[in-house]
This record gives sequence, structure tokens and C-alpha cells, in this order.
Amino acid sequence: MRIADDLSALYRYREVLVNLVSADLKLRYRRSVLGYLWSLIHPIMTITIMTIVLTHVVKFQTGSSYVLYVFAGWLPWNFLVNGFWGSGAAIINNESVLRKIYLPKILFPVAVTLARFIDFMINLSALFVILIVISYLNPSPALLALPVAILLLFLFTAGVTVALAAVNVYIRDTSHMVTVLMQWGFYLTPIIYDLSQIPERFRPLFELNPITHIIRLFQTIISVGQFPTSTEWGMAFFVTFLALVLGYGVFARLEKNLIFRL
Amino acid sequence: MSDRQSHIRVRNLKLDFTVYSNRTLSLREVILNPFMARGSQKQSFSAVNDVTLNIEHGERVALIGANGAGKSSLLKIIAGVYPPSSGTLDINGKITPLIEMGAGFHPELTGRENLFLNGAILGFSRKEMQARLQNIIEFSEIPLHFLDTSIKYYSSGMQTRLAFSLAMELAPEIVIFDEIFAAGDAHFVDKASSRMEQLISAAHIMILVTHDLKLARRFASRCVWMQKGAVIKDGPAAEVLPEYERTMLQAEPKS
Repeated sequence: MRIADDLSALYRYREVLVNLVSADLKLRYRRSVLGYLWSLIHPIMTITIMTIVLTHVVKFQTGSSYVLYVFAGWLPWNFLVNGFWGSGAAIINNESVLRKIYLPKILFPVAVTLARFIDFMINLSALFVILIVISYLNPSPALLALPVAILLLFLFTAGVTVALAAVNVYIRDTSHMVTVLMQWGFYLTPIIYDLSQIPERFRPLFELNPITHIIRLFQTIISVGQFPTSTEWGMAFFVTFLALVLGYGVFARLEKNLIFRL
Repeated sequence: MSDRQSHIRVRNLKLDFTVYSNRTLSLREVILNPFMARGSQKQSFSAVNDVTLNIEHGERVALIGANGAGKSSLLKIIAGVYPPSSGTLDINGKITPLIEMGAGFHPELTGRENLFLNGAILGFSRKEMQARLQNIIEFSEIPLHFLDTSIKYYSSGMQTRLAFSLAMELAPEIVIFDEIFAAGDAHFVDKASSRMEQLISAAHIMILVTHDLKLARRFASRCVWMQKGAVIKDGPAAEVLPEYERTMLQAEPKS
């Protein structure tokens, strides 16, 4: 099976993977004064401005629970977007190595996804602490379900990123398309508003968006403070499975001749 | 090193390149493809054309031929970089391709970071690298304070030395050299070639692509001459090399 080959390749080349991830993390903030702190400043600033504008300026929402809601939805969304963007160039950027030595191509999008995932985990933990300290968040037993939600988020993202990295080698318009689609996606995913605020006739549009089902797990667990319902779990598992199967399927089909298109 | 017997056996190997006027499909092409003839913008040629070659344990082979004869393409198929268009490939032994030193160097990473990344690419674990780091640095003669500087600030000689010193720590079963004998001062070149001799004598199989016939004579016992993607002569280096040299001299009286 192809997938078994690729999984064992990921294991065999784990040292390369670790090096790629650490190079990615090191290089992004090298020579900046605040360094890695930037990856924390960015989400705090974004969530702050979003909640200020939406609660005080347009008075769309109110209260501390809204901060929590935006935090719960935006953070995983941000990971997704960064993963999608980064992976577009993942294989192309390593052209010079790939032309000279054999390396499993899957390493590169997976490395990008892992690097963004580490950012996400650091953000999530830091913001958690902050929100608990300023008592916007009362830890509830539902948080026990968070690791499963995080795992699904990671797998969903990985499925999409391996496909994007391969497709982008063939059709370089892909990364531009992703940028536009993700901008739309931000409004087609309940992040700054709740699904219940959306008029009935538009709701199917949101329900069809697979990302909605992943994000919703986080909102239910963190902001509502409850365990997701079995329907919510079911949908999230389903879209994750779909992303993995389709994403890997696309990647596997394109991989063999990819080298000729670099 | 293992006692396994290494070999490389390729049969009727073919590699067709498709040359696109634009290597990537544009969106327009993808959309219009079903309606338009697909062949309008591409041409194909065989970089490797029906090559059958057996290299057995213990052989030291030089691949020679003019530019564009398909030597590097053949090596890249053997190394797994290119999937062959047709033909079979039977390889026993771990291949270490030393093709263009420092291919995996990332300009922004420091020398030390690059050593670890490239060491991993060549198959070293972090631990193994740590054990060898001192050796590599000493051999490369790169000043210590440079080691934690981005490699983009290195001179090309320093980069080559670093890459070479790393490569020489390997104990490959099958080693492939593709024009790697880049510059360096005379003293380093001297030191490097004797180190290379050790590495080659420990390897099961060596394949060398070069235009430098002196190198071929020194390191290879067998010589495979390629032209236009095919093997036109294959035999002991002592026979093939003089003939190749004569042909080359006739073709280009100046050199």
C-alpha cells in the first residue's frame, strides 16, 4: 500500500522531519528583537481588535464570553490558514534538494504543518493561561475532550496541506486561489458570529463548509464549556476522514511525476 | 559495514523528458485541455534511452560522455530522484549520492544547523552527528566563529569544504559522485582526495560522473561511455578511456 510506504518513510526520515520543523521555527523570527514572542503577540492583537470592534464599535456582541468565543474559533482557524498557506510552497521551496537526492516529498508539507501546529499549541496554552488569570474562562471538565478536537484539527489540516503542496507544483495558481478562498472562508465559518445568528436560508452554506465542523468542536468545548454532542463529533470525524482520504489520494496520484514539474 | 553484496542492475531503462514551454500547467491550460490538442506545447526527448547495465559488488565505474549524454540523468534514476519512464531497476545496497555538494544547504541557516539538517538527509541521527561534529569541523578548517553564522555569508570555498567534510564522514555502500570535485586551495584538495580514496575503497560500489579523465583513471577500473542517452562503450578503463580521449580530441582539436 502506498500509504504504508509514506507512513514508514515519515518514520524513517524522522530526523529530517525534525530538522525541517526546527529550521522553520528558527528562521521565521531570527534577527527580530521579540523573536518567538511574535507568534504570541499576533493572535492576542488580532483577537483583541476583533472583539473591540465587534463589541464596542459595531456593537455586534457583548461581554467576556464573546472574547472566549472568538478565541475558541479563531485560534484553530488561524492554524488552518497558516498551514494551508505554508504548505503551498513547501515542495517548491525545496526544489534544489529534491532534484539532487531522493527524499519522500510528503516530508515537506508535513514539516510545515507540524511547525504551524507547534505555534498553535504554544498560542493555545499561553492564551488559556491568560484567560484563566483574567477569569474570562472557568476550566470545565469538557476540556478533557480538547485533545481529541486538537487531533482532529491536526489531521484535517495535514490532509489538506499534503494535497495543496502537490497540486501547487502543477498549478501555481493554487496558492493564490487558497488566499482568496480562505478570505471567503473566514466569513463562511462561524468564527466571529454564532451559527444561530445566521439566517436559516444561509445556514446550509455554513454546514457544507467542512471547517465549520472542526471549529465548532473548539467552540463547544472552550466557550460553551460542554462536551460536543455525538452529532458534532460525528461530523468532525467525518470531515477529517474525508480530508485525509481525498488529500492523501490527490497527493499520491501527483507525487510520482512531481519531480518533472518542479 | 555489512557483509552484504551490493549490486545495481538496470534493464532497458528509459527516461523521457517532456519539455513544456512552461513547466507548470496554467489554469487556462487545465480548463482548455479537454477541448484542445494537448501536444501543442510540449516536446519529448529521451535523456536515457534503453540502457542495460550491471554493476556488481566491488566495481569502480566512471561514467563518461559529452554534456547532455544522459550521465547525470542515469545517476538520478539510480539514486531514485527520477522515476524511469520504462525499464527495471534492481538495486541492492544503500545509495549515497554525492551530487553537487551542499545541495541541501539552506542559506539562512548557520553552518552548524546546516550540518545537522544535511546530516539527517544523508542518514545520520542527531546523536551520530554530534559524535562526528568535531571531526567534520576540524576537517573543513572553517573558523569556529563562522560556524554559527548563516551560511550565505560563507565563501563558496567554505561552503564546499563544509559539505565535503560532512560527506566524507559517511560510510556508504554505494557511492555516487557527480562532478563534486569543486574548488578549494591546493592543500585542501590534497587532503580531500586522500580522504576520498579511503571512502571509495571502503564502499561496495562507486560510480563517478566526470569530465576529468585523470580522476576517472585514478578512481575507476571500469568505464561506461554514454552518448545521446545510450551506452556506446563499456569496458576496462584502460581500454575505454584512451579511445574516448582520441574521439574527444578529434571532435575538438583545441582542447
